[in-house]
Amino acid sequence: MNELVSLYVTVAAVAIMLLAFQVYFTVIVYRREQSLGWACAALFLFTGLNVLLYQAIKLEKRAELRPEEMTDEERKVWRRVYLLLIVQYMVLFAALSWIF
Amino acid sequence: MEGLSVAQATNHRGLLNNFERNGEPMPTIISSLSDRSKARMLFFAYVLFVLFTDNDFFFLAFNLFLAFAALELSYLLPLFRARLIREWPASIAVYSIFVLMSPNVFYMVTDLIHMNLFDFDYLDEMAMEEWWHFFLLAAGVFIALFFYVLMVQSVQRLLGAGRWSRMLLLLFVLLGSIGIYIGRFLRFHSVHLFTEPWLLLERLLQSFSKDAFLFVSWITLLQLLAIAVFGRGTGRGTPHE
Repeated sequence: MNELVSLYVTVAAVAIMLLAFQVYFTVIVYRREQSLGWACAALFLFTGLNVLLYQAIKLEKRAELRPEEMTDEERKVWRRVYLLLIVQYMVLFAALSWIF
Repeated sequence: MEGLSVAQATNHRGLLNNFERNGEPMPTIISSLSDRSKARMLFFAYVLFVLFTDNDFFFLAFNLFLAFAALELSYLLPLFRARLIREWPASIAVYSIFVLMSPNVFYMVTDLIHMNLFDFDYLDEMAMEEWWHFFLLAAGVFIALFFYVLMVQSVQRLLGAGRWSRMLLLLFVLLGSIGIYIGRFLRFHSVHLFTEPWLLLERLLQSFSKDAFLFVSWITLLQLLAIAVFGRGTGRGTPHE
């Protein structure tokens, strides 16, 4: 029983974390692009596909992810986005290896 | 050109000329892509191919995903170079995760051992199932090697041309070989360093032997060979960077 509760709690925590990141990234993308299409892509593409798509189509065209060409504000935002994404993957790996 | 007649050789040259303009190779769809975009397209195409065709090598999709994740992380390294003291914790975390993930790229080369699933009794018959799997595995390894070259290029760019850069690159390669040994023989993943660090360390210390040392040495030499043969330095000044 205890294991089942732990499993539910873990799955719920991972789901909340994934959802929180989706919302956070959607807000960032919508503020920058003012586009519902991009907002939908940011919200519905999970596990970093949204970041990868935005990076490939928009970000690399502008700054090619060269920090020296980014403003301080941009650099801060993208450091946070990528850090959250990496943390998300680490938590996912840990949770999946625990569950299976 | 050995073994070709003059006419054949001329035709061969003519064919080559179709791909050249003013001595420069003519751009094709593939060659006009940046290495980064090429890596992404190859990754998604390969994973879809492995997942939606009939084969016994589905694990290659996951292994290539891990290799691709390490490559994408390598592109983020300049962004996580700390400028302020308060940026150090995040930078150390990202750099550490990159070092932990990076062996996954060259690890795929050792996946070649899975060809032992088949007999390859080629003198007896041409078993298409064997060659189909040979094709899948070799393609995955080629793509992983491409990722490896790009990842090393990112690391070289980050290290610059300083006095210690070659030593640091060698250390990076050596750590990668130890990581491959841990993954291949002790069957640990990068994430176990967080979830079971003491068990991993204990097993690693227990497994030290002459054979382990030889394996690590050979994989290190293979990686250095790949860098020497396919590497392109920092990539600065190349047309696609």
